[in-house]
Amino acid sequence: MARKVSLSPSLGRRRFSEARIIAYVLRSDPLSVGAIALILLIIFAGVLAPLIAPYKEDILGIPRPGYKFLPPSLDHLFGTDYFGRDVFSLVLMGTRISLMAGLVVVILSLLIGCPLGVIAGYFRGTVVDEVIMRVTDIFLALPPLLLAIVIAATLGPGLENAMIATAISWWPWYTRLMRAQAASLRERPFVEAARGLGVGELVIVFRHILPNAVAPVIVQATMDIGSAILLTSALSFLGLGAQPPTPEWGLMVNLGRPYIRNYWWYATFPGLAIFITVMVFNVLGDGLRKALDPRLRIRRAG
Amino acid sequence: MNRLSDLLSVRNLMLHFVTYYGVVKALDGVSFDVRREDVFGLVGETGCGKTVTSLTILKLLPENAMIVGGEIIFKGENLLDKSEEEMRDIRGGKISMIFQDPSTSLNPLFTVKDQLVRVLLTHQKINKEEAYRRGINLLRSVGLPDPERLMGFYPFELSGGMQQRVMIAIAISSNPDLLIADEPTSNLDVTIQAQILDLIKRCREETEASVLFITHDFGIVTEICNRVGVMYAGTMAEIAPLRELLTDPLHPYTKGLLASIPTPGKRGERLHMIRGMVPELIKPPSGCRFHPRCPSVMDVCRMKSPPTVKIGEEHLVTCHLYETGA
Amino acid sequence: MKLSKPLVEVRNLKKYFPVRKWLFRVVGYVKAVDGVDLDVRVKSTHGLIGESGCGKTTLGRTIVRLMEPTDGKVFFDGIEIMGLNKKELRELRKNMRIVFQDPLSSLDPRMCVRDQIVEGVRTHVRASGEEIDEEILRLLKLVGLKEEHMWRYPHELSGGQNQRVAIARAITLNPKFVVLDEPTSALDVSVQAQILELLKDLQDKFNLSYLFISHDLSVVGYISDDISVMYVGNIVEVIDADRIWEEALHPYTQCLLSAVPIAELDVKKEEKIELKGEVPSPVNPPPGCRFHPRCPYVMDVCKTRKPELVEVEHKHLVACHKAV
Repeated sequence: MARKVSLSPSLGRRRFSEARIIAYVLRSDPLSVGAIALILLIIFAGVLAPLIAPYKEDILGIPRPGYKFLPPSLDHLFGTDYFGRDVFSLVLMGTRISLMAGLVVVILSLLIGCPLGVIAGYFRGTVVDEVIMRVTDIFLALPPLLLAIVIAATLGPGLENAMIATAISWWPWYTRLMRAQAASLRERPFVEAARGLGVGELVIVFRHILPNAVAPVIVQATMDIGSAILLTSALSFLGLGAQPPTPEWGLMVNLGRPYIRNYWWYATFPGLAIFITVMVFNVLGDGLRKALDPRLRIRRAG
Repeated sequence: MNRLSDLLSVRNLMLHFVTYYGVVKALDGVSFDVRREDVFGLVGETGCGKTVTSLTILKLLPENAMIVGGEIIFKGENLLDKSEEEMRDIRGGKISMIFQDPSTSLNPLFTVKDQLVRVLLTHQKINKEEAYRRGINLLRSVGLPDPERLMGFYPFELSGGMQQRVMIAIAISSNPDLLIADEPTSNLDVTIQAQILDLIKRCREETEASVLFITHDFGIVTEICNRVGVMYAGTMAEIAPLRELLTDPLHPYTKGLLASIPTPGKRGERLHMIRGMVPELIKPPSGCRFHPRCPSVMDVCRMKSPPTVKIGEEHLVTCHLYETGA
Repeated sequence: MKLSKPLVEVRNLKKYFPVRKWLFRVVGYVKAVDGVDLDVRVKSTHGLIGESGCGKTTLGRTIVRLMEPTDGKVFFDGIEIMGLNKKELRELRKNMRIVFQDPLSSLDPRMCVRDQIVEGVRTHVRASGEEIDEEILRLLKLVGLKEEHMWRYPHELSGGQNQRVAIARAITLNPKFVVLDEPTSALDVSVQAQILELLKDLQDKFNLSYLFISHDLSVVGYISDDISVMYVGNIVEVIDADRIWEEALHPYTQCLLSAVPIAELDVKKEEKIELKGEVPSPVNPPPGCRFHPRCPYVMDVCKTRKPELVEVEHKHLVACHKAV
């Protein structure tokens, strides 16, 4: 019965896509621009690491006794470590590891969490939903770090296991998000229309609901890459993740910890790397959230 | 046209919105008069600019709106020259507005009493008790039973029709000279709509206010208006007294629009269809904005904006077809 | 006058929604549809008119089994559809379609026009890519769209265009019956005219039957062959569309007719009947005749006994004690 009388004059049929609006808003926010620039820089650093790193063989862990614990200099921008390896090269190479870890964790979590969430949401109120959500609740009740520690300890040390552990403690958040999306989408007319056409239920879930529910989750996942990096680094810091001689940032912070008084550069630079990377993803996340804010839409249309 | 009886004169109003997509040329030289004792219907389809016009009169526009030209003369003074403070006095005072969706224009956190009494206190120099008494009378006059009890209700406890009556009570509380009603019945059932339209007619008669009634529904216009302005894509296509507009529409858009409305008399016939679609206003059509869809389009329509021509005593049409001396 | 056997027969259809307190205790029922009888004939348009809350939308959806009824039967072409199993129901869906009110939200925002229509076909029939493309083009042309629209997304099209896509999707595989749930209520007047004429053309070409649900009496009066008037879960009057203006008998219908604003001068309308009060809630409808608290002609019997829908003259049914 409601006739929509819009305040904005009709803009005709040219509705610009979501992506362009988001891009526009992000472009005008200096913090977001800075964040994106830095992220690109980090990615470049990681990709080009083997070419830029002046002493890339150092990751193999071969000690170079004469160069032990040199302070930062032009030769060794971040100084050297206990074995005489160039910290700068190590941090650079570690960039690839951390970025990969963040990506893998997030993707794994999505792969587990999304289908579960979408099914739970569509079959909301039924046994299927209850079962999935109880399991999810159990996982959610445990602090992620603790859970990751327990799983990593069970699986044994190693970067792969750390990533798996993190993913296992991560997926429930996506399930919840997807479930909320799916549950609301389920009421929408186009889902009813598909049912009216005779489309089977599971087909509806994966053809109609999943693609439409996934957008906010993707945004969340992008922002989560930073946190995933933090979590895997934490595990490595605790000794449960990457093992020496892998140049993983968290591991390096741990190794450099005893020497922080006299040879501060060993722990500080990897620590800074973690800090900057995670912060930059968080800032991007804030920018994205602002860009997606529905209140801004009124401004856009005038 | 008797200038003395003009309550509100909108002259050549031009309005733009600055958006991320570009500049939307929402109003392109809109002119019309609302006289004393008029119920002036502003009709048009989505996007024609009728709501924007009413908001411009009360200067309730968003930040990205720019008034590019024209004047709005209300009781001899140009509203566009007034400061925000002066406008605040006028809003709810000499000019009141009733909106489409009463459930969103009434504050859900305050009772009827709070909202009604506050408006009364804002515009009139009376104390709280007097305001309450007048409030009760107002509620009764808009046909609400048991006003004392109603005062204590929150908006969500009332039906749509009752909410709208409360809105009307608030709007007429200061005895305005002009009442702007923006699609006040679009969200209401047909039978309730009839009651509200009756109420508005009654208010008009009893308080001598003029009404600027904005709607997309020609049926409502026929029920309640005595003069009509038809808007299209930010321009005023035609203005005429109600009877003349329905029996002798001049503008091709008006003709097409009237012919496309399903009425019982048209059963068994085909409805007229205006070809094409409403244009977008960032790059509106050149010349006459209706020309891409007009069955009587001429070359000049593509190039020049049409003039407003007066036909007979009261009938104005903005169209090249009626250009004198062409 | 069409004397064909009804294609769709609805008998005593009921749809109740339980009202729950604390998630488990059922404290009452919303009796959205409370015993409805309805017939739709072949190649005809049956209008269903009522105000908000009368249950017309629920009725439309229950007839096509998008919602499961609480009681009652629906016969399609003689076959009782409430008892069909999943597979049979799927077959049935080829013949019974539905078009919704808001065109934009009835289309998947992430699917292009072609895919939306294809879904109507592919769900039931295996066909090669070429055959499908041909079919899509044919359908687009039928509803007044062009080939270039095939690849557009709903947010790139206007309301009218989207509704055409929804209609194209609905007529894939040549259904016999289409439920139209307020198909033009969200559209501008000039676009509404286009869609109404399109629906009429398609009905002519393909012998379609429509159940046209709306709150807008002008539109229903224009396009329907016969009309059912619904009030709080019940049908109160059934009459031919060209007779409704002069010969309506039920007081509620008369009120509706007098309240509807008509865009014509000097329309002879009934004396404006002041309808008092509000629409009752379907959870606790008034006893006896549901309209009695608001009826200007209420009699004692109306308060206790619910009137039956009876035929007072040829093809004119009323549920009212006074009219009978």
